Amino acid sequence: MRLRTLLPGLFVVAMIIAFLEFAVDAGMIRRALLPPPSATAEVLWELLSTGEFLPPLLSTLKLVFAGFFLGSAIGIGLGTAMGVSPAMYRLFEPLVELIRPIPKSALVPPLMLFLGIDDAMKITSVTLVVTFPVLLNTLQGVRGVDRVMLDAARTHGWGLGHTLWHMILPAALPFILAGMRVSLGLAMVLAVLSEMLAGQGGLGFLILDMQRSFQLRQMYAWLVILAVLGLLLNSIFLLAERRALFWQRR
Amino acid sequence: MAFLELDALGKFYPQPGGAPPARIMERVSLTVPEGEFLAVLGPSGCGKSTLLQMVAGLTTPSEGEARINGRAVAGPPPEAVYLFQQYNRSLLPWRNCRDNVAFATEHRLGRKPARAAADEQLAQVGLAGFGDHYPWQLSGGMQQRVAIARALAAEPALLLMDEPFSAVDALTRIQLQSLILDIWARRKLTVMLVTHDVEEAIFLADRIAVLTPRPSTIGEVIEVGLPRPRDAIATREAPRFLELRHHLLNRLLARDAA
Amino acid sequence: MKAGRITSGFWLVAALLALWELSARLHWVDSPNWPALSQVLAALFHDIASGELPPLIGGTLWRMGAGLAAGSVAGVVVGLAFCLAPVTRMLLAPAVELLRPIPVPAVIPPLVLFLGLDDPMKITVVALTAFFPVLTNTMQGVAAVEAEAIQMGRTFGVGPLRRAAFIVLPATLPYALAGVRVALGLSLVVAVVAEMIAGEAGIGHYLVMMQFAGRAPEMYATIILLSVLGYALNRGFVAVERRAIHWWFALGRQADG
Ligand SMILES: Nc1ncnc2c1ncn2[C@@H]1O[C@H](COP(=O)(O)OP(=O)(O)OP(=O)(O)O)[C@@H](O)[C@H]1O
Ligand SMILES: [Mg+2]
Repeated sequence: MRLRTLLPGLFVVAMIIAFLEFAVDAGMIRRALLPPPSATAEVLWELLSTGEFLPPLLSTLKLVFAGFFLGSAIGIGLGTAMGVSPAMYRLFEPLVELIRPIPKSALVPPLMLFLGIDDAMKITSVTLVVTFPVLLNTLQGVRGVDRVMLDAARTHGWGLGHTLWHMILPAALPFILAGMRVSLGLAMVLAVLSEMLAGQGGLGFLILDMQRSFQLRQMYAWLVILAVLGLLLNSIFLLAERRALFWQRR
Repeated sequence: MAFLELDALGKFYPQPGGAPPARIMERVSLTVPEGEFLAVLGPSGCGKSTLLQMVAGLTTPSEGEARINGRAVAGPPPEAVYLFQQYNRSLLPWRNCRDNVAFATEHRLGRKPARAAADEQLAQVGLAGFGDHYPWQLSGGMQQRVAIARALAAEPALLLMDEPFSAVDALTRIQLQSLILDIWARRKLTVMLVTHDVEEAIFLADRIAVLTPRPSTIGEVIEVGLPRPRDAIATREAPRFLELRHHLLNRLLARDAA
Repeated sequence: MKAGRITSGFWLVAALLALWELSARLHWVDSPNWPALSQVLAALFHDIASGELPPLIGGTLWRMGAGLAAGSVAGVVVGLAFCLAPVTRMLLAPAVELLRPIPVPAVIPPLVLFLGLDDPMKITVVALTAFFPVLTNTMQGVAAVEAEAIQMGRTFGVGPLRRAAFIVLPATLPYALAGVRVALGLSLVVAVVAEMIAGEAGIGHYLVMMQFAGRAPEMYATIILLSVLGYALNRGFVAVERRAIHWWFALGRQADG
């Protein structure tokens, strides 16, 4: 049923691609800007069938995953600590407020000076950008837990660990996951950006490199691979989120 | 030709998954002469709002038709204005009270005349000087007065009211009832009021139509026959009032009228 | 830092900043990449006073503003169209959803081919970034318009265009503005990113140049400047928002997302 509602739109997408093919053929768009989609598809097929697409894809994926998990762990950990303990909140709140407005993409150049152009630098920049949305959302979620619920836990004699695991984190989960969803997109952005700036490999590097050496069919082919990766990661996360929040009927 | 005629109105909603359509209402027929105050009484969920919205042209009937001055209702008729059950949702929170009332007429009169008229209408419902206040700065009863002022600004011949006082406290409700009676008498309006409040129906109406449970239809039409002008206290103590109250409550609570 | 109350967190920040200063001054960290905070601030004031940074900031802000405006308008228009004329949504939503997950830096290389290295390309990239959050929020906003408010318009004989302009649009505004607030933060970042990757203009390019030239104080000064700019823009926008939709805040609502 979902597919049927999607069909007209997918048909429009196909029409757009067909039009581009025609427009390039008829000389309405210069080949130097856009190779015919069929030519890009050919290159794409080559990359896929020879397995050549895999190493760059995995290299980018590694950055995204490592940074995403590290950043989420730090964000959830620190956010929960700050949400539960007023002392921790007082200690870290000014620091968080100070670092939060720093555009994390602007930190890539100094990070390159300290950490070089290896994975360490790239994973650090992804981790940094992931941490803050997760931290702030976790904090909001944990602080928003109903006081009545917490009092109920106390009257039942639950310990802190038990209360955290069975009450606070489940209640904060929708917020945490919303923050992680935002962070996932940002993680992709920072992974691609740091690959472009550090210039060693990965999808971001390839897209920029192919453009600079005027191998446009390759550039578009890698771009399609990156777009599909983004779409897949996003869909998987949404699916997992809906699973985890099955009790939230919406 | 009566002013308002309901001719075998019926409504059903299609059900998902091929189940037979849900029948809300069937064969509702009624004629309302000009200037009458009619109350429609029924339990919650029996389709009162649906009925009123069909008359207001906001919902299309599945069967039959409503006619005003002999013309079938298709879309909101110019003679009628609908006063919503939830005033807090039908008032626009980004407009102050004056501009909320002006909304009823500014598309016809233009902004300036509509605003001037709005101040007048606000004064008539006892809200002179509140034009610059925003709806959320007023109490529930005052907000409903704003909604009434807005309805009156359109100068309707027919006022359709959907449980207009169900969301205000008991004392405010009595005050607003007297206000509506006063306006009805002064402006010679025709009113169709929908309510589940037996006393409200008796106190306000000339006639009361009682709806049966779903699929609902009109079970009985009662002449109230209480003298006018009605008094907020004395009328409620009149023997006829108490007799009607006894009868209607028995009916609605589905007990045998002893 | 709020209301002048000095808490443990204030001391932590002060201690870290002091550590930064001392570690550089006393050569605990001995690296040309690690200038003292005071040197960084001096570089910041110098670059502003010498007139080197202000035009760069101006250029970046102009590209950001133009892109944000274009993207936001497009987001609101498409959002309204998708909701009020569902056919458009059925036909175009998949195309939009296919573009959404592409990380923005990746669209810069192809856009450079079509639009060059200068303003048109950068403004387009910013607009593309701003478009999506505004679109999502606008659609949420339209879905949240009270059915009673629209029927109210109908009962007074107000036509569909006027209802869209005077009921749907104002009711949607708080959501759309929340989307613009999110887009604002992203826009500055993306404008800088585009400058870092392509062209020779703006703060982003300056930042990369300072990195290549090994002028660490200038580099850190640029980052501080960007942070202050981002913070100030956000604050300014929230202030405008509070005035423009005061009624929304008076109702105690929140529209985040
Ligand atoms: N779109 C719809 N689809 C299916 N059923 C509907 C729809 N709209 C209303 N109904 C049903 O129609 C019935 C009548 O609704 P209506 O709002 O007219 O009742 P009401 O008498 O005004 O109730 P209340 O006293 O609570 O205001 C309800 O049982 C409701 O479930
Ligand atoms: Mg109702």
